[in-house]
Amino acid sequence: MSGDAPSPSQADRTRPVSELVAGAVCLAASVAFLVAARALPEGHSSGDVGPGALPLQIGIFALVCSLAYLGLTLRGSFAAVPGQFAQSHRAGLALGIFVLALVAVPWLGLALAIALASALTTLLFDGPHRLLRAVATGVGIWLIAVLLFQMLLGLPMP
Amino acid sequence: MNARPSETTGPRRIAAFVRNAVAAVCLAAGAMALPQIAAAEFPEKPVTLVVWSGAGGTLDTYGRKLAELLEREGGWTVKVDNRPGGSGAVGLSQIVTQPADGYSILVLTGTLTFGIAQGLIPFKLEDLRLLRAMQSEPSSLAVAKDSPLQSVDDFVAYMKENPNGLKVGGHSSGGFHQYMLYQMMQQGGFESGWIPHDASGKVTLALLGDHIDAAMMTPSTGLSQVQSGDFRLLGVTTAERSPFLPDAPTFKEQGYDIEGAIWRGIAVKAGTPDDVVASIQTAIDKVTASEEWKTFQQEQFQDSPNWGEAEFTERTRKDLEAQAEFLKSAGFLQ
Amino acid sequence: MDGIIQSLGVIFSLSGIAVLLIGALLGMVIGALPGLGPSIGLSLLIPFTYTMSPELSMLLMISLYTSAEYGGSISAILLSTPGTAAAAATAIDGYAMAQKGKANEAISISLTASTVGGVLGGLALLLLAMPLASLALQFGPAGYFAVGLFGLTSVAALAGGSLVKGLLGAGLGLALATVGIDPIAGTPRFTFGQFELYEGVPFLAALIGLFAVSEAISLAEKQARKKPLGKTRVGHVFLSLGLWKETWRSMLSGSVIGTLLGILPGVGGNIACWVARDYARARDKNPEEYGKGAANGIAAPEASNNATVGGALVPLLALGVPGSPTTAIMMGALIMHGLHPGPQLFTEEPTLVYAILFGVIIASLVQYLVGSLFLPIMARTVLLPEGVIAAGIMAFAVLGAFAIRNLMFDVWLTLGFGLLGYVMKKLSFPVAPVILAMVLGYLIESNYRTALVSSRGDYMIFLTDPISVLFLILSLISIMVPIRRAWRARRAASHSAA
Repeated sequence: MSGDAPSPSQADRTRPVSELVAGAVCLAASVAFLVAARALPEGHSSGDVGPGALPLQIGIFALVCSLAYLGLTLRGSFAAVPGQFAQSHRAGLALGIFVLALVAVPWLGLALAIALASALTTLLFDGPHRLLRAVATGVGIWLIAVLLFQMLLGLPMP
Repeated sequence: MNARPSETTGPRRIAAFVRNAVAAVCLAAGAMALPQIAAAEFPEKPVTLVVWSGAGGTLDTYGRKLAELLEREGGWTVKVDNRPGGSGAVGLSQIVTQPADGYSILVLTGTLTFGIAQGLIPFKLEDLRLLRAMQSEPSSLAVAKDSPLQSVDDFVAYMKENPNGLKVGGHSSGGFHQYMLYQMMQQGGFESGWIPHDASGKVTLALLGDHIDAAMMTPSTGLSQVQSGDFRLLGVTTAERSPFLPDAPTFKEQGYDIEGAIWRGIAVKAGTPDDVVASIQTAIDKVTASEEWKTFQQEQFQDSPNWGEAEFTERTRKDLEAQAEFLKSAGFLQ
Repeated sequence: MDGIIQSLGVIFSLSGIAVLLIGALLGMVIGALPGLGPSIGLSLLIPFTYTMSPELSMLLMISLYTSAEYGGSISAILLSTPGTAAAAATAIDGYAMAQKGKANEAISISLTASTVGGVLGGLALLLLAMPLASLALQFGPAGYFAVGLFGLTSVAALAGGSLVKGLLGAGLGLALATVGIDPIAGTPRFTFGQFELYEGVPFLAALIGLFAVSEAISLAEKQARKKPLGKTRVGHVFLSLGLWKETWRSMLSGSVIGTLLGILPGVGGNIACWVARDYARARDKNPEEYGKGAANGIAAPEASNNATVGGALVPLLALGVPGSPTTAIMMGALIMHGLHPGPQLFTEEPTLVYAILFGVIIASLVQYLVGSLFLPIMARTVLLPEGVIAAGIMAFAVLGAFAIRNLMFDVWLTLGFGLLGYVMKKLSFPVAPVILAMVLGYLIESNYRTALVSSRGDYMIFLTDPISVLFLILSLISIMVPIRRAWRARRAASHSAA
C-alpha cells in the first residue's frame, strides 16, 4: 500500500486540504457503515454467517484504507493541486440546471424538462451562435426524447 | 351511472361515433358530463396493464398475451407498462397512486402475499380488488435421475433418519417453494435446511450438477430435464395429476395434504366501481373462452385456475395468514 | 444435415439478411445510449417478434444482442459514457486513446475485437455446446464465489495512480452491493425504507452517474476536453496490420475468457471484460500503458465482451436454462412460439437450433459490416461543439436512467452518482473499481453464504470443491504477480541508486 507514493521531493509542501477532507469523509463513512452493519440482524439458516457479516468486513476494510489514506496524505504523498475546485461552480451549475429540471418534471413532463435543461446547459459554454446552438440542442433533445424514447421505445415518461 | 344504457345496445361503430362526437362537444363546451358517459361502456380510453416485473419473464409473457387478447377479443386498447422493483411494491404503488377507475390494471403473482407477510410490500390486501387468477403453477419435489429416492415417503423417511441429511434448495429465500417444503416438514416431522437460489434456472443447474440433492421447483423450469428423465418428480403440489405431467404423482395421492400453486392474475385499486369491474370481468371471460388463450396456456404448461373475485380474495387472505405463520417459524419474522 | 442446410437457407434468405441488418443497426444505437443495453433492447423487440417465424425472430434477437453488446463501446470510447455495463472496461483505455486524437484507431480496434470475439464465441457454441454445458454444471456456489473473488483481484490493476484510492473505491462498490434484500436471510439492508432499493442500488444508475454524468459536468467546468478533438480524422475502420500484430493475442485470450465466463449464469459479460483486461495487462510488456490508451486495453475486453454472447447461449440451448437476463428474454420469445429450449430442441427443431448457432457467428460478421458503414458517421458526434456534447450526455443519461425501471428515483440516484464521480475524478480516485466491486459484491456474497449454508457452516467446502480451489489459486497468483513485479522494480531502482 505504500509502493505508490511518489518520491517526497516531488510532493508539494503545502497540505493538500481537499485530500485531507476526502480522507476524513472516507473515515466517517466507513465508521458509519460499520455501525450500521453491526445493527443488522443475525442470520437464521444454519451455517449462514448472517446479513451483517460481509458489511462488517467491508466496514473494517474501508476503515483501514481510510486510515492509510489519511496517513499517506499527512506524510505528503499527494500533492496539493492549486485551484483544484476554483471552477467547480460551473460544474455545479450544470448539475443544478438538471436538478431543477427534474423538480419541474411534474409540471413540464420529462421530455420538455430535459430539453430545456440541455438548452440552458449549452449556454454555459462559450462559442459562436450561442443562442442558436441552445435552441437547436433543446429542439433536438426534445425530438429524440419524444420520437425515439417515447414513441419507438415506448418509455412511459412522466 | 346508467345514464345512457341505450348506447351499449346499438351497433358498436355507431355507438363509438356517437360517443366520440358527444365527447368532443362536451370537451369543446367544457361541460362536466364526461364521467357519466365514461361509465356507460368501459373502457373509454386505453387501459394500462401494469406488469410488476421486468419485460421478458413469465409474468410479462402472460401480461402481454392478455393485452393482445383483450384488444382482439374485448375490443380494448391496451398498453403494457413494466414496473419492476421492490418485490412488486413499485408496480403496486403505481396502481394505488392512480384513480380507482379501472384504467390501471395490475398484473401480479402470488408472491404478493409473501411480500406483504414479510413486510417488504408496504401495502395491504385491502388496497386491491383481486379480480381474477388466470394462471397457476405448482411446486414439486424433484431429484436427479440417479437418486435412490423414489417417492415422497422415501424422502421423508431418509430425512427423518438423517436430519438435514440432504441438501434441499430452490428458488428464493422465504418464498413459495420453501413454504411448500415447510409444509412437508410439518406433516412428515423432519428437519431440513434450505439452500436459496436467486433464479429458478440456477436451481435446475444446481440439481443437474449435484450441488443439491433435492429441489422444490416449478416443474416447467426444469421441463427439458423432466421430459428427458434427468429429473424425477417425487410429488407435485396439485390436487390432481396435471395433464401436462400425467406420470408425476401428487403429494395428495401419497397421503400428504400439501396443495399450493403460485398464481398469476390481475387486480385493480380498491374502490373501483362495481360496474367497471363487471366490464373488466366480461372482457376477461371473453379472453379465457378464446381458443388462442387455451392454446397459450397449453404451450406454457399453465393450469387455469380462473378464480373469480370472491374465491381469489378468500384464497389470498388464507394464504397470507398461513405464510405469515411459516415465515415466523422459519425465522424470517421475529 | 438437413437442418444445417435449411437453417443456412433461412439466414441467407432476403428476410433473414434483412432482420440481421435491422437487428445490428438497432442494437448499435440502443447499445450506444447509456442505460439501454441488450436486455432492454430485446424486451422492446419482443412484441414485434410474435408475428415472425421462430427462426427469424431468433436471428433478429441474436443480431440485436450481439450489436448492442458492442454498441456500448462506441459511446464509451468517444464520450467516456459506456452504454452497457460491459463497456465500462473499454471506456478506460478507449477514451484515453480517443483523447490522444486516435478515436479512429480506438474504434477500429473495438469493432474488430468485438467481431473476432463474437465469431470465436459463436464457433465455441457451435462445436462445443455440450462439453461447455457440462463444464458449467461443475460450478457450485463455492466455485462461483471463487470466480467472483478472482474477478475482484483485478481491482488493483484498475487503481491507476494510487492503490489506496483504488481500494477505497472497491470498498465503496462492495458496500453499495450489500444494499437491498439480503440474498439468504431476506432482510432488507441499508434501504432506509425505500422499496426502490430492495433489489439493490441499480447498477446502471451507478454506471451512468459515475461515468456519463460526471464527464458531462466536468466538461461544463473546463469548457473543453483535454485535447482538442477538432482534428480527429474520422475515416474507415479497418484495422491496420501493425495494430493486428499488436492486439491479436489479447483478442484471442479475451475471446476464450469471454466464452468460458459467458457460460456461467449471472457472471457473463460483466466480469469477463475485466478479467480479460487484467489478463492482457499481466502478460503485457508495458503494463503501465494500461489506462493511458493501450490498444490491448481495448482489444481484450471488447473481444471477451462479445464472446460472452456465444457462451451465454450454451446453457440455454444445451440445458434449457437461461444464463443471463438477455437469454431469459430469448427463452421467453421461444416459449411464446410454443417451443421449449433444451437438448431435445436439436432433434425436434434442427433448423431453428442451427439458425441460432450459425446466427451468432453471422450476426457478428453483420455487425462488422454495419459498424464499418455506420461508425464513421457516429464518430462525428465528437466533432460537435463541447456544449452540445455535454448537454446531450446529460439528457441521454437522464433518459437512460429513467429507462432502467421507469422510475424517477433512479434518475435522482444517477445524478447523485454523477456528483460523486465528479468529486472522485477531481481527487484522482478511479471510478472503475467501484463499478467492478459493485458487480462482483453480490456474486461473491450470495455464493459465499449459499456455500456455507449448503455445507452447514463447514468452511472446507471452499477447499474440497476443485473449481473453487482452482480459482482461489488463480486469485492468489493475480495478487502476487504485481506485488512481485513492484518489488523487483524497487530492488532494481535501489540497486541503480546505490
